[in-house]
Amino acid sequence: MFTYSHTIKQFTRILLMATLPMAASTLALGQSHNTSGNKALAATSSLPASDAEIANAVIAMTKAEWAADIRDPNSIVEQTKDMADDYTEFRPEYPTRLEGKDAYRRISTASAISSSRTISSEMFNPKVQVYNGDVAILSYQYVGMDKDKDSKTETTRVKVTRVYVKRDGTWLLVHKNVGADPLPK
Amino acid sequence: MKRILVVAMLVAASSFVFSQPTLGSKNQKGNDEQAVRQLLKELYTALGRNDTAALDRIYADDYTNVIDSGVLTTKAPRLASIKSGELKFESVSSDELNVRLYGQTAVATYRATSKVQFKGQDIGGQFRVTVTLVKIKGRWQVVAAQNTRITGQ
Repeated sequence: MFTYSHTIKQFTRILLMATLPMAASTLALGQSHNTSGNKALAATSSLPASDAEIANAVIAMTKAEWAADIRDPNSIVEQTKDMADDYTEFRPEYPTRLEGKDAYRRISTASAISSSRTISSEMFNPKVQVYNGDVAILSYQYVGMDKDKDSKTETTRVKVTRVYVKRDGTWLLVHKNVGADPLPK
Repeated sequence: MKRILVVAMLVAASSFVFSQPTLGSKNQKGNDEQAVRQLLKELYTALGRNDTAALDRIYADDYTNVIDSGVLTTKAPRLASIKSGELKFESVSSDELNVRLYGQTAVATYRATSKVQFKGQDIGGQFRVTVTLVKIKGRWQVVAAQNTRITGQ
């Protein structure tokens, strides 16, 4: 699937030939650096109850998207069901901003034919900012593992910001920025 | 019969009027977009001048920024880093700006070109930037950002 598997592999700088636990433990070390002296980085515990509910909802929506990809990389419609029609996205490998849900679906459909597929997707250090009850900004580190036809695995690390907006009572993903998340030096 | 027809026409006309976006709301959206674009200009200027007083006004208290290294930073450490000279901007410019408004929230996306040093090392370049702004107590402020370096540099 396009979102977190095949095209992400094009991030050659951030592909790691490491095991998932190794990447995760390194990430945990990086986290202690990130959070030093900053209570605001706690995931959702510092939010008012109503905002925490929204935060949990958008995190769940993100994980549901990944689960759909793991179950079936070709389930593009299901994976993008929470995406706004005017969705936009930034990725390092794009020459420009990706504009629209339809464009995203076309690229995802083309990417889904790859022999490699995602077998694990994990979210680390989620941070959600909620405003006015109708906007949620979710940032997190993603660690995923892909397996190719020879059972060779590759681990991916990226840092992501997602912007969700509530329209007519429904939460929709309107934008995503996916960037490199290099290992701490 | 004529009276019924007239009343029906009036009801239809009024529902049509009320179903259309009012001129006021269109103007408000236009004003908000203008205000957001202006604030972004002020942001680039403030960064280019390493003006922490201006940045303090532009960034909301719970501002977060996912920087190029993947680290999530917040307002206080960012301002402290600029104030100390550890993080030093020479220039910041942008193009391909797109602003989308969702009520009291705006999502701005653009390409930024910056000349900037961190601890004396050049970390500038071109970035895909996402900035989310929220109108807080009648004033637009930047609440979140992510800078993704454009590869091939």
